[in-house]
Amino acid sequence: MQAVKVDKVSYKYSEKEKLAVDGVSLEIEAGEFVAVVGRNASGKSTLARMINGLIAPLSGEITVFGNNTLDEKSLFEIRKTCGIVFQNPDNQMVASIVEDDVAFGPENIGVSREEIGKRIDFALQATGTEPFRTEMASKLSGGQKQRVAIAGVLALKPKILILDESTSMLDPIGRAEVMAVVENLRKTENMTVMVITHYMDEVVGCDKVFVMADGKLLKTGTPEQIFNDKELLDEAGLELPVPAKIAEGLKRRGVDVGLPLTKEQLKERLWKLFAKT
Amino acid sequence: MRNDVAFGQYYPANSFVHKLDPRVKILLLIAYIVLIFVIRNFLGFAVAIALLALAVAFSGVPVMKVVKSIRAILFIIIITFIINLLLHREEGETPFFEWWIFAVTPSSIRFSLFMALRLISLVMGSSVLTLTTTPVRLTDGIESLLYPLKLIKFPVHELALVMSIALRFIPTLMEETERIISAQKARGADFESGNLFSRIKSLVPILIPLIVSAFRRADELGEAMESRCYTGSKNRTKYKKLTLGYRDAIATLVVAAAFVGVIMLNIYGVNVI
Amino acid sequence: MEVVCQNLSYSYSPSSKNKKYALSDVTLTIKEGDFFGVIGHTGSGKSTFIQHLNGLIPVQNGKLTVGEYDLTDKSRSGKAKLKELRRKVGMVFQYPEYQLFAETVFEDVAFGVRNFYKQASAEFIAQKVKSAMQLVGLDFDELKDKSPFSISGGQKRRVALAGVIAVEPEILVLDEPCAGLDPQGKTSLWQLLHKLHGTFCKTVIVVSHDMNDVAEQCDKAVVFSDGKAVACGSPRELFSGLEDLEKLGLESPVTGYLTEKLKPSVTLDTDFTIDDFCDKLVEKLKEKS
Repeated sequence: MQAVKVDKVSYKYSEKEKLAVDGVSLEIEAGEFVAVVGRNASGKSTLARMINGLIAPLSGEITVFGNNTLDEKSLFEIRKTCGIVFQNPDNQMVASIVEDDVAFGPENIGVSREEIGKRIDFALQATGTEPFRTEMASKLSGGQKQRVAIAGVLALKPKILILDESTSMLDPIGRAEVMAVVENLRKTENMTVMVITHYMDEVVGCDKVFVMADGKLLKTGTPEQIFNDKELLDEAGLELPVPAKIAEGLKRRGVDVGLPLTKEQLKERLWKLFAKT
Repeated sequence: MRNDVAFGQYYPANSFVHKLDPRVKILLLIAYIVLIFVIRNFLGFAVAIALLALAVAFSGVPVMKVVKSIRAILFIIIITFIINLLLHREEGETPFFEWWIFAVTPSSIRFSLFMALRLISLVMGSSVLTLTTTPVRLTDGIESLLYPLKLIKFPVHELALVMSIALRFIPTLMEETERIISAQKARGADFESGNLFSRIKSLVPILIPLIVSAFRRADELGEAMESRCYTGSKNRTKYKKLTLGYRDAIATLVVAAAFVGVIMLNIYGVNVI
Repeated sequence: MEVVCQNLSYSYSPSSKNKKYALSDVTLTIKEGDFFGVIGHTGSGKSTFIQHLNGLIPVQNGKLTVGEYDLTDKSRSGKAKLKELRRKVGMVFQYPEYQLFAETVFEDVAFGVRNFYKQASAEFIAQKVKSAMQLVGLDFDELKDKSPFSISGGQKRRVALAGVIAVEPEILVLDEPCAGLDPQGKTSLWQLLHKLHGTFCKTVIVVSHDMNDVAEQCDKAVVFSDGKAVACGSPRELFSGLEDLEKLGLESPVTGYLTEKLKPSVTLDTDFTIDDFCDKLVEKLKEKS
């Protein structure tokens, strides 16, 4: 089933500026794990906001599980279906206490108290934040706060989760915490996930990568296809993940181990290399 | 890091006072404030302080947290104490000490102590409320108490939400202020020397980034709220319903008893000092 | 200027009974000319440590000298001295673009110059601002009259950096300078820091979470954990004892991981930069065949 269809969409923030998103078309299947990469200000976040219906495309249209974001009446449904977690965890929390904040979404859509309670239980459990249920959110670490922010979105029972650079302000432990939650949601809830990120190692495990530059979609492909396209990487200002950088260094020295994207893959290949000799 | 400086920030616990209905707590606090203003003699204060002690004892909040809440207005307490001590005067009194327009008299000692005690019990009482009530419960309580105003189209829900968000952002903005002050100090900014004008001017490099950041945060928060389906008070449900229980009845009775006690003391009590 | 720190301890609540130490018994030396990494989790004490270096946090316990400035001696570290120290130790906080405030880029960069050189002439200030902007790769004529709030994110960060280096600090301290940048922005920021390292700015101290960056960029680094400086040395020394690092929950650089996994059949004596790692690996391969 198709989760998101973006059809020739453009957007600009003001008359004078150039297009922030320029004729982008893409499709995301239900259950897929996709990444959007590119420089700062290449249009990634604007695209995410359009998918969630926060801003309406200037031209073209977007459908989320069949609902058109241009249709005012379906906006509520779209936002329930497609949750978005932003960059700064501090700026997406409404209430001081964790459970009060997680309750905010379900309260907005008018479900019963019992149902809100159930949803809070589910969301806190899925993000491993039950221990903080009645804590002050301001006392939590960055990773914990961001997990609470995810819980706040999960309480709306979305089918799609968009992470808009949600790990960029976190330290490695916080990042790992958040990515583990995402992995778990994909497994247990079959959640469709879209991550917008600058960390190439977060891209590696994706099904599909969208590469953007200057508002345009340059290429769609698997991580292998993307990282093997040298020209594309330069054009979009991307980098190889560190293991691939090492493999490239070896290649320049006449040792070919292909282009492994994870350190485990590279390790295997090096082992083989030494076993042969 | 230094989160504890924030005045009476919520202290998570599961105590008798925590479980009281926030509406009852707000009304009882108002009653308590009225009480400390009708007190006429020091014995009355004994009653008020006993009431406060009772509240603290049943709140599960460490006593020091409540006492520390005075710190925020300690300066004001001291200033009013000194002003009252030196300026308050009743007719036909012989001062202990007199200089120019200043004098210390028996009544000024009594009066200034009185005012200081009032301020202290007022602040400590209010902090018991904020320490035992989460911002959301507090604003829910206010929203519910102000409910009648909805009839005249007063935006009660929005007001309550704004208050709750403001409380939520106090620690965030305090942290941010500290960070900006450090950053500007590192660039050689000096907030401590110079005349009043240059001191005020030296605040610009702190205030502008703070305001810019507050706007950015407001923007992002607005977006986050909208994406979480917020559309105003219409069709909204509440996770935590406010319900009155036996605890509320007990607390009300205790405060009422203290009230009667103070009034009795006002009528029959002797004036100490 | 050399940073010497002996048994430095600090607590944010020194009067409370069960006080927690943000820094505890830290002893280390940062030599002039080092490109020095500071590693640790959030809350490990690294921020508290760097804020000691320019006196933003006063010394509570232990000794700290920065060049000729003895930060322990409170009687002599008067205001004038402290100011002089802050000129020589430039500090760039996390997300420094959030501290921009002036009407124009010029004025913002000039803020520090005006603060540290009270009697400076307009030419002197303009010259300092111009050279700082050029150093960080900003076009002076194009940007000087623009509002710092109207330029791009990457430019904002460079303006903030220019504002710190305009007074030509000898030690430059940066807290997570790459946070939030895209890969290209990151690469060019590291290049810029190495360029600065060769100028007036003799010592660079960088707080970083990314071990790959530390291995690649720094000559030396200290690891903080629970307020203690648990390890200090060159990447070669630090990443050879990987198990200790991993016990602290810190991820090793990929080169370190691979070196460890190739043991015991292959032992590589590398400094853990990608280039050196590849060299040593290819050498071993040739030896074997």
